[in-house]
Amino acid sequence: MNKPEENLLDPNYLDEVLGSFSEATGLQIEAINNLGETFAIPGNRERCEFCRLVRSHPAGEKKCRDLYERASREASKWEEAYFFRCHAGLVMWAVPIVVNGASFGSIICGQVLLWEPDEYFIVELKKLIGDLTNYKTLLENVPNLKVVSPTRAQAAADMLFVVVNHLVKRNIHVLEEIHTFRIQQQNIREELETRKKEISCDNYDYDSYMKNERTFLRYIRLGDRTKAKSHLKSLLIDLYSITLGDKLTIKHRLLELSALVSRAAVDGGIDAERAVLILNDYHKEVDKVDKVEELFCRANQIVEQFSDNVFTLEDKKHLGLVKMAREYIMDNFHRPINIEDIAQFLFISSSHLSRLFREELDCTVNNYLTRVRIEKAVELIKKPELSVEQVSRAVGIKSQSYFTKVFKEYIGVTPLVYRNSLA
Amino acid sequence: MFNYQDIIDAIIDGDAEKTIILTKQALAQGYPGDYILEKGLIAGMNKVADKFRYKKVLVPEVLISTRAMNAGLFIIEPYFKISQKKSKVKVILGTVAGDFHDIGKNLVKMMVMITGARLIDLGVDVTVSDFMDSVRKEKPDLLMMSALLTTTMPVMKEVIEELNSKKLRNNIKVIIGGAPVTEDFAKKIGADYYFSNAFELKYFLDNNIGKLVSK
Repeated sequence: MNKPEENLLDPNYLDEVLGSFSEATGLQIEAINNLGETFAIPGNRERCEFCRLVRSHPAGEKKCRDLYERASREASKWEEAYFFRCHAGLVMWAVPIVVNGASFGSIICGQVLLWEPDEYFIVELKKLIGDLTNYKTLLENVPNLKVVSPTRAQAAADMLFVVVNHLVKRNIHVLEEIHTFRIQQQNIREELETRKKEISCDNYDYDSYMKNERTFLRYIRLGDRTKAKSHLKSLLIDLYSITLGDKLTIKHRLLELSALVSRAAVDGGIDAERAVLILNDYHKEVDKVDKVEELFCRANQIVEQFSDNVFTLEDKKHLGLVKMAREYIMDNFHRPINIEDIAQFLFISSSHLSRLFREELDCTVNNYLTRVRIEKAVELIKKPELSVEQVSRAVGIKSQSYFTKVFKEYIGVTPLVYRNSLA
Repeated sequence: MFNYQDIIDAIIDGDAEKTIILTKQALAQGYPGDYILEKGLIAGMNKVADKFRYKKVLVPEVLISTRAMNAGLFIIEPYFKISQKKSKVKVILGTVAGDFHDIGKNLVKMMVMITGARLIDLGVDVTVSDFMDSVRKEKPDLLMMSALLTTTMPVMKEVIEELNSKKLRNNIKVIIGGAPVTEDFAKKIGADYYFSNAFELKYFLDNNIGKLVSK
């Protein structure tokens, strides 16, 4: 036997704490091991007559045990109170005993009804345990079953969860993390369900995935956190759909993605040394992960870390103005706008705007505007039906030679060379 | 005039007795069983599921709503016309390993039973080898699997791969479903059909059951 379990199973302490719980709530509890066998009934209580009668039957006893074993497995999978109805129709819940990630069974609580024993309950019982030889005696005991409200059941389960985690000294941080993963998993599921309802949901392939990836990276480079985040969400679901939830493939794609994000963030202005540090930490952590939802969580975290460092706008005085300026640029870059237009839009002087950009974003307004334009141009240049001149105009740059010059400055090659390299 | 909304409310409240009374009333007034099922019982349960998603309902409340719906099902079941001619189609049905709840599966089960097909219900938490053993033994025409969680979805893929590698795939049509399962997923893992709800399945079976016998 493992040490933590021995600590936990200190019979006196267990009996004392869980016994108090049982006394206070008036609810039956049993401590069971991973095989579903009861090893303690704290608080000197006896099982209710109904349960005793069911268990007096070898077949009944076995069913109780099998069910507890299953419930315990389920509870430790979710790491939360797991509600279920037993094979004899009663409601109970299992709270997992998890020590250092390993399951040591559960505390089963309840053995109650959440409704008055009505006629339909008798119908249910007949179906469920009608074959037990003492079925008639069992029926006589139905009126003695405890009835609690759903709210009370939930409250008792929540409380028991806290008590058990106190017993095994689980720290709050671990529980929070589990909670985050669960939310992530729910997100995946909800997103899949939503997509199902839309018509254009089928056929996710790497072609569309990489297209979305490029768009996503663009938002990283431009420091548009909100858009980056929402694109990441759909990107992750794409990935889930394409890989059919295969962990290893997802891990590989996410490692690639993190590398791409780091480079994009460097393009967006974050310090290269720092980017590599973040990336290293990420690699180290991801190595240990083996749940898809955890991988997704980590991906979210690293993207947040990177985008936090690109054009950080937090805790800055003139956040509102700079943000509005950026939004204006995003909406109007296709027109031949200049710094004057932006300043006028914001009702401030162009020199003030320049200063704000330098202070807050560490770049000039023109730098930023050009960056947005080139990002868009990169996307448009992929369309063979557009000439370089048309692309240039579409991003608000009138002079084709100027366009070629800045394109080369940012991308490293001229627009034509870039396009030909795609063909 | 009977109102489906009353049944929906009774299910949301988890009132089994009331659901039974209302369902009986509706049947007595001549409302067809499948309408009461779809517009009352299932609509009610869908409402609960929606609320649950947004954390407005507690798990124990879902439990009593489920019970109320089952109470309604119990009343309605005999009113479903079970196809007179016993079909030769044999169906194996189960929820994959790791999944423990079976609301959806029970509806599917009912739809299959209505068609008169022979049904083997493997229950919930069914492992790959359980599925395989049953397929070998029963030689079904249809294998129906459902998954409720994104984490358990890959089990369905494993079953199909196993069928392929054991050369058992040819004579069997695989149908999958479940909340997180999509048509795209079904296609990719090589399932034959996917249905988003029990009624779609029913419609499909009504029209195709004759063509499904493989032997």
